[in-house]
Amino acid sequence: MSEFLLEVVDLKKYFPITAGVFRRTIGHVKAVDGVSFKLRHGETLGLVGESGCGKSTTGRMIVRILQPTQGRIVFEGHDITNLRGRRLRDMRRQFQMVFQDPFASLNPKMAVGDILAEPLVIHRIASRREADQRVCELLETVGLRAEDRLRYPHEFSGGQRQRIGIARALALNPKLIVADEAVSALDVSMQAQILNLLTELKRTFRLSYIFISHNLAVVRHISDRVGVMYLGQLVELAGKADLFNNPLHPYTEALLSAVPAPKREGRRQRIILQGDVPSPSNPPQGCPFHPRCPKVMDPCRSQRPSWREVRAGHWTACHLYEQ
Amino acid sequence: MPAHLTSSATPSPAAVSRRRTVKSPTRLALERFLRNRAAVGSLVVLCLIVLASLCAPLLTHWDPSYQDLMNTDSPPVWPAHPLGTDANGIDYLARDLYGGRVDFLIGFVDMAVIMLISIVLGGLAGFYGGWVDAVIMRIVDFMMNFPFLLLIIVLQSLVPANTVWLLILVIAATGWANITRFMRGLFLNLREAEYVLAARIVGAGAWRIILRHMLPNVLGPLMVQATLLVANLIFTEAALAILGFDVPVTVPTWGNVLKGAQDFFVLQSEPWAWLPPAGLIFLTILCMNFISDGLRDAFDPCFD
Amino acid sequence: MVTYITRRLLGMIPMLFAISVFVFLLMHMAPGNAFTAILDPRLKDPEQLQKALEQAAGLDRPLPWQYWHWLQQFVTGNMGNSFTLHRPVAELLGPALENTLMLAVLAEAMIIVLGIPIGIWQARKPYSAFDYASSTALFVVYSTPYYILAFFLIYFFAIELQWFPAQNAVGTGPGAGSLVDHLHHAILPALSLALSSFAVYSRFTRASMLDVGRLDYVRTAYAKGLSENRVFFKHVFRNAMIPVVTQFGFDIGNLVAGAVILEGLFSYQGMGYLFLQAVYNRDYPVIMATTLIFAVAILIGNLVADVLYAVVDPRIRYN
Repeated sequence: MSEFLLEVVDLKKYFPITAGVFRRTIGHVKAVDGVSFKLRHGETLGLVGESGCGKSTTGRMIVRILQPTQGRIVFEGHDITNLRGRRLRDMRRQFQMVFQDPFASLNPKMAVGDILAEPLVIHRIASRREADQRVCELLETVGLRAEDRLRYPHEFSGGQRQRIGIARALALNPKLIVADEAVSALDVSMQAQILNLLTELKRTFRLSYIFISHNLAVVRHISDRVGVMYLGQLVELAGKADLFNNPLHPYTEALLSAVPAPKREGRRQRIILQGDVPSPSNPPQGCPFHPRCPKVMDPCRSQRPSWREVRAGHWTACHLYEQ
Repeated sequence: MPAHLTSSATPSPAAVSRRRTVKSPTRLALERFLRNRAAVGSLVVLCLIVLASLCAPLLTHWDPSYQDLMNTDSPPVWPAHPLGTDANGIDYLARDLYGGRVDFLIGFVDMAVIMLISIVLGGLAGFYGGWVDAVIMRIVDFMMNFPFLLLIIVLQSLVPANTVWLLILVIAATGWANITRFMRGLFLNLREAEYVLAARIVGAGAWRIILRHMLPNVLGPLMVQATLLVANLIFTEAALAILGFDVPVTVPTWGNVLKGAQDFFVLQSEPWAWLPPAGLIFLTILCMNFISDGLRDAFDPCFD
Repeated sequence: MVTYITRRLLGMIPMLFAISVFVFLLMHMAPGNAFTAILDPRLKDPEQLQKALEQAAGLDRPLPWQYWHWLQQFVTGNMGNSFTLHRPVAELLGPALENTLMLAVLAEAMIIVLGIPIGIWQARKPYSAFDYASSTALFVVYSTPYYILAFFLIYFFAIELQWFPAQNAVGTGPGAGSLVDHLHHAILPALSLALSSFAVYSRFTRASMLDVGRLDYVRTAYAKGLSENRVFFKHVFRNAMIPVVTQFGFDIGNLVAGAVILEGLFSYQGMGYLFLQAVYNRDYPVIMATTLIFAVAILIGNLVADVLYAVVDPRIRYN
């Protein structure tokens, strides 16, 4: 067995832009532009960034509902990038996803029990009776009651629905769950409950998470390691404490400075970035962050910084730390 | 977010366990439909018309092809010929009643066939998108611009026996484009819905997603379209009859009876010949329209 | 926008080509042709005459040759001669097109003049007695097929009152062919066509006005003290017309279908009538020409709808 559960190598997703009478492709939206990281067994990796930075696209490529333009996704040593048909379906048991919007992610016309039994039926894991048994277990695992399987999604609150979404992701006993903004649509008290549930499930079922969020506090709460994305690229990846206490990349610094400090630390100066995020259809040359970077240097404008391990376990792509 | 989702979103657990029956959204919609007086009334009237044509032998003893040669062009005579007879002595009431059978046969069989085609093609186009969608939509565009009268005439002259089933076949073969385009739009809207993505992630295949996840969620608009389609098919049958491209005149259909009104003499002085089929066509279409309206309101409570 | 329109127009070419091929094949699949029926028993050798006529029309050649020949001629603007009316197709199309346009424009004008104001009026006092009464009445009219409406109109206005003619597109006698004469003949078929679809417009207008009237910016407009009329016409009406306007383009398809049926019913010598006659008589060149003109009309109508949509709604950009 490989040391890593998941390896993502130079992953890219370009969406073509077409124009003119014959719809010639005149450019690409570089939604994800060369993302690489490795995920250990039982680890939670947080991915943060502004909206449009490509974190959700990355998540969707990992669970294979978006086909990468380039790059590889290696799951437990198997390259799953180009799997199709039956083999992809079998592989799907290993990685599941929890969605952002609990009102949109459950089929309103299906009873909860059917929603949860569906994965079992598709993968021929259980007979009807076993499936029913398993559905009850799943509901209890996520803090709902077995009777709830007869009800329909519209009868549940947002938090309860998110629990159902989690139960569905658990149904196949996956090793990896990609949580895409899984708590962003919930109110704060509910967020805490769901985060605690996720933490608890991780311990019980030895899960790994890729936790995608724009909310730094949430990511900090749940992650072991955190990756920061900007304009389709990872700019920094490190252990949670390391990243939050000693950010290397100027973008990370700026991002962290925007979080209101709960204690009077008083140590951080708020860094106000100039300008807007450039369009991913026409990203700047060199470092994608250079037009807004307070510490911009000459090489930033022409050369893309390499993705390097600057300190043990602390990766970044920034010219400040080259050599 | 529709109001009915948020308002009932947080029942207390106790309240839930007390409630015995769990109602699916579809069931709730049908219950809303049954509370719509105009729609239910229309349904009753429609059932009566269908029933009358099914029970035609009980309501008239005339055969719709029997020529009562002693009483040609007769005005209404009770009880012999309550709606008179045509130039060949065929009883109008019998033609109207038996004609309903043919019209409803065309209406319901073609509706079923066309809905099936539109669900399959619209589902495939909407689910796969890309080139599958492009190819299907090109065919749809083609069909929508094709003069289907021509196809009917050619098929009728190619197949020696010009029967009702031939007409049904021809209408199905030419009438699916509009609805398929509509269904494709519905399916395409659901393509990126999170519950559809979720189903893909748990490993559901194309047909499972189309039939189990997408189809139930377009059931409302689908039923609305289906009722409108029946109305449209009954409209089409009579229109074809007026143009002379219907089944042979000897087959009783509402269109074939109505067509008599093209003769201005009949139009002016024999209202018993054309008013009843005109009324039946109108009433059927009106009922279908009220029913489709009721279905729309029932399935989409936000709709004003 | 220009590239969008260009692309759509170019996209019509393969579509029209495919339609022409199919119509061509279908026509020739049916047994018999235009010359089978005209044989006169007084002729000595009817079969030889039929052969000669077929030869003159090129019907004895292989199908691909016939199609190619037709296409070549068609592209250079020659639509051939009618088999049964013995005149160039282009000459037949001229007056037919004029008559159909008269019918369509008149019908569309009635729809707009009747439909939109009623919708607006209903939307000003929704759920009032007038709203309910007129909505129900419109629903009933909308549910009546236009050929049945036509029968009633003929009965009352042509037979009983004798105000309008029920047949032909132009009259005979003095004043025949004048604009007034044309209008006089077009009124009943146009009214039949308009009555059933003006209900669509008023319903559409009403729903759209109510939708827009609920939006925040309308409430803001009221809140800043604008008069009811000003809000209604300046803020609500303009935006509510967006979905209504696009309906015009899509209506062309309905108008074409309606024209075929009503022109047949009224013996109104327009495109639909010409097409029907050609179909009855197997007049191949006329069938091809009318079919393609209908297809172009529908395709252009859809394009116009999409373009109008972008013109009235600045948020929509095609690229």
